[in-house]
Amino acid sequence: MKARRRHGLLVAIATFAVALLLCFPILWLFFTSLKTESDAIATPPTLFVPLSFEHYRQALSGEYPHFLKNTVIVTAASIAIAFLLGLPAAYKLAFFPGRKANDFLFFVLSTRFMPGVAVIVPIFLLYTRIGLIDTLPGLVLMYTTLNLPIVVWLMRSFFKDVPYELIEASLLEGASHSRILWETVLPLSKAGLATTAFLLIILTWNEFFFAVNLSGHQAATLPVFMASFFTSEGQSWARMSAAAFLAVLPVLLLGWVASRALVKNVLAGAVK
Amino acid sequence: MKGVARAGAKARSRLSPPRWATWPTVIYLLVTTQIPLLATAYFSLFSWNLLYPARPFRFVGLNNFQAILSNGGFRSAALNTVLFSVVPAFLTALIGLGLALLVNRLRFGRGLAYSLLFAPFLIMETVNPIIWKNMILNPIYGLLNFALTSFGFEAVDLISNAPRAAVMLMIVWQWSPFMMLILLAGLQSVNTETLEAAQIDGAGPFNQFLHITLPHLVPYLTVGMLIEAILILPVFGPIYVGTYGGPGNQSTNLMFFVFRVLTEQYEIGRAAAGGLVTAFMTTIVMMALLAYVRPYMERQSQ
Amino acid sequence: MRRLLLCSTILLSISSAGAAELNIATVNNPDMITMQKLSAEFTKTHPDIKVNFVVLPDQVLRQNITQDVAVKGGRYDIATISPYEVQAGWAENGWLVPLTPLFQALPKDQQDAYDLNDVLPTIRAALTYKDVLYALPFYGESSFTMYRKDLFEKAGITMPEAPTWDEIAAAACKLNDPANGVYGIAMKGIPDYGQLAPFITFMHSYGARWFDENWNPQITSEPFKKAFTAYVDLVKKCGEPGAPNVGFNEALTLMSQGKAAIWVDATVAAGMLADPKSSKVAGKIGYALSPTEGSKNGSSWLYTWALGILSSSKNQDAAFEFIRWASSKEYIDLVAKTEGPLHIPSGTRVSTYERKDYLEAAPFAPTVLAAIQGADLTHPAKDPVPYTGTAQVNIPEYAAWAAEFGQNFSAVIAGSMSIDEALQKSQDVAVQVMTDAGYIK
Repeated sequence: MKARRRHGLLVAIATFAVALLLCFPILWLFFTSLKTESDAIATPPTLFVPLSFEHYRQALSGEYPHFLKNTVIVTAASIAIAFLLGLPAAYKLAFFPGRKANDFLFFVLSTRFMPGVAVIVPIFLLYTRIGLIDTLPGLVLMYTTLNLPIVVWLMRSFFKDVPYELIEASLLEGASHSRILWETVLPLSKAGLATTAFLLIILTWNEFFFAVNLSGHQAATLPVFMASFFTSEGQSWARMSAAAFLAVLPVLLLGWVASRALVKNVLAGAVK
Repeated sequence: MKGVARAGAKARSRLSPPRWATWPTVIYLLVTTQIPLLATAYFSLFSWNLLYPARPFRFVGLNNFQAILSNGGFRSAALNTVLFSVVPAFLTALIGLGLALLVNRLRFGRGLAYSLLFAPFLIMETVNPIIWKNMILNPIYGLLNFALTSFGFEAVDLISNAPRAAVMLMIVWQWSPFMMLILLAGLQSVNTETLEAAQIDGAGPFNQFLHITLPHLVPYLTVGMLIEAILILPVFGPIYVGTYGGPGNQSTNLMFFVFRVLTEQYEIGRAAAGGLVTAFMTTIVMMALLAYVRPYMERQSQ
Repeated sequence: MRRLLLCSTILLSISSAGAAELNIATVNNPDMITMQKLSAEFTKTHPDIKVNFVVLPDQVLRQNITQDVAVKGGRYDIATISPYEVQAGWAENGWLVPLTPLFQALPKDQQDAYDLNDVLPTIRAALTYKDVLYALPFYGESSFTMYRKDLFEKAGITMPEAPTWDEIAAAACKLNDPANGVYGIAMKGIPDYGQLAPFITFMHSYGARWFDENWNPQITSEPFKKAFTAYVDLVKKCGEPGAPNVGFNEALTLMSQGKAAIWVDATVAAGMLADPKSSKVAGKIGYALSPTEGSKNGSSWLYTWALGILSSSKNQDAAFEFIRWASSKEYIDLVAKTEGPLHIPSGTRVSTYERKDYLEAAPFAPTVLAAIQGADLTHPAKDPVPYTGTAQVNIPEYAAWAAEFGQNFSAVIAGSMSIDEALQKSQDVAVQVMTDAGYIK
């Protein structure tokens, strides 16, 4: 018993030590955002200086709510649609692949081979013609395209851990595929679902290139808000750190809250 | 007799696969990706410079491709693209595995540890390099040199002298949580009964890991690394903000290369050609890679 | 019937003079931040005009607006541009609304109130193409020398009002004290061609030039090589380590943290260094003109951020209202009242430099004015040249070869390329680009 407890303590120490090391830059970012501009760029870096939330107050009094709203809508919608379209495909590929499965998988992945820089002007043109520039549906369209391949590939892997016998049994009982997917497969893939969703949230939330090129003022998202604090002439480290932190705070909180769904305790014998 | 046969036939017909399940995905992707792709291919055959609207939009055949391929920096950019994708894929897999195992065994504070550990992945890839460049890698007052000199080593200037290493360092830091997330989810689905059985048989934790957990994770490792490599391919932030592709174009990758064609020369046709060449090369490499790793994507044996 | 006509006429006139929404694409420059804050005042006097700001980093902004204008995306009404955009194609391509006719159409009292002649002549010239004005400046700068008065005094050296690079180099090397964390001079070395201006003025001040009269690149010429070598030697011997990391912000940090004795760069830095809220050396900085080494031409640059109306805008009248307001004398008064005289935008109007409150708050103002007035971007070099531009060359092809040059330049400073190799490579690329573009027959 004692050995196990000591072992548990060691693991805890090791984990938090690594965690602190890994996210130290971010903690420093947060710390910087509380300083005055002059302290923020001080070298060597300062530790015991007056701190305040002034920069946050300033950043929030601007148009942060507008950008936050846009980001939330675009992220939620594009991920929801990506799941809607991609889960059936992942289901089929996991349990009933057939001969064309590999080709299909490759095609889906290949949609991400083209760098955005090369395709941005044609897309910009197309969007202009259809009137999607600087609109939320336009961004949702773009992000769904980016998210769909990941849904298909990752969920296929997670689905494959569901025993085929269960599927077969349900089929023999006369269940339809959509019922099997909804009632049998998905409940057993909660961790995979949550992980995929979480990953996509992070990727979509932080996407900058398409956001800045396809939106103006109306549909701009948080990364564009972030970029407005960059300057090649002048110091605003503290303000920029505050903006950077504000931009990721929602997802940070989401991850903390959702970590229960993402990290079950295997050793305690959580059963499928 | 007849009733049973009919029930059997009905059941067997239900075993037929869901035929239309992949169509929504296919149709959506065909529309949203192939149309822009065709447009890009079209433009790649023409000369179109945004800064010269008066110039005629003329057909130049394969000139754009020739210009891209014969550019001195192209080969180095192509090599860097592979480097920046493959090396971080392996390193993040290693680190991610370690992190996932740690978090999985944690008994308390799991939520906090998780939040702290995936935090690097949250930072926008254009902010991440600013932190690194100014706080850690700065040759005068950065933490890296502070640590090195404290232990008696010489100070280094990665961005000037080893820009590729600097870029990869930033990528690995940012993407290790990605692998951790995927591998954690994979660890959730390890069959606990098999683990307990092995424990009863006398296998220690290391053996359990080697013979049960690791094989179980192989498909996740493979798929995870593959997806990560594809996602990292267009890496931009660490290069644009961190090293600006230099010094001397040393840390330029294909994405940055095409970005410069677009934003410096505004040669749309040439940028399109550059993109097509990139996509083509990626396709070839991916096909080869997939052929090699495909067996590892499936579960070997239960 | 008549009443109906009257009604509809009134309604029509109201709606045509009516509500407009202006989208301004701009940079994150301190004066622009002030303008964003004060735009509420504009809305007070123009309640039917709503103003939205889209703030982006320089290069992203340029790419964004260029794309938008060229392909008619229509996202923006007003754009923040520099002399480069006006001179190197935007005016020529008809992307900007000519402002001269708009001014001439104004009633005389409004013209006088705005007082175009009060706008600094060199700045005005920088924004004028073929005798037509295309943008109104809200911020202007040149470059000059900033140095630590206290360090100079301690070492017993004085800085002449118009130093040469030899004198600067000598002072820098004398004050270079890495052991105590003070470097002689802060110099940029990043590959970003958008930050090449200090090197460009260095080069021009040595009497070198980018092109001869027939557009043949001169990068491998003797004067150019001499200037390039001098720059590299200075930064390596008496400048800060890790120069390939150093752009404007990093150099500003070095200077404001007291780690450099001399810095030759944008006049805007003076205000930042004089602000005790963000600078440890406020009050210790002296100012002198940008150094020369044989050529006064091109030894300091002229740069301005200005507001131009995009020809694709559907609200050109409202836009003209706004840009006039944002560059007017009344606006400057407003800034002085609400933000304090130190935050008055520099380098736009002669009258700014006659204000007692500004001169008191900004002791560097007279030197800045002298620098701006002496920077003529139509004569950037000692010898005759076919190009204009002191912080860049005002041709659309500039970025194409300047970017390569920037990369090679940075590599030399990093020590991974020899000077000859860098110069030759850059020369080859420049020749290629200029031949393809038809400048060289």
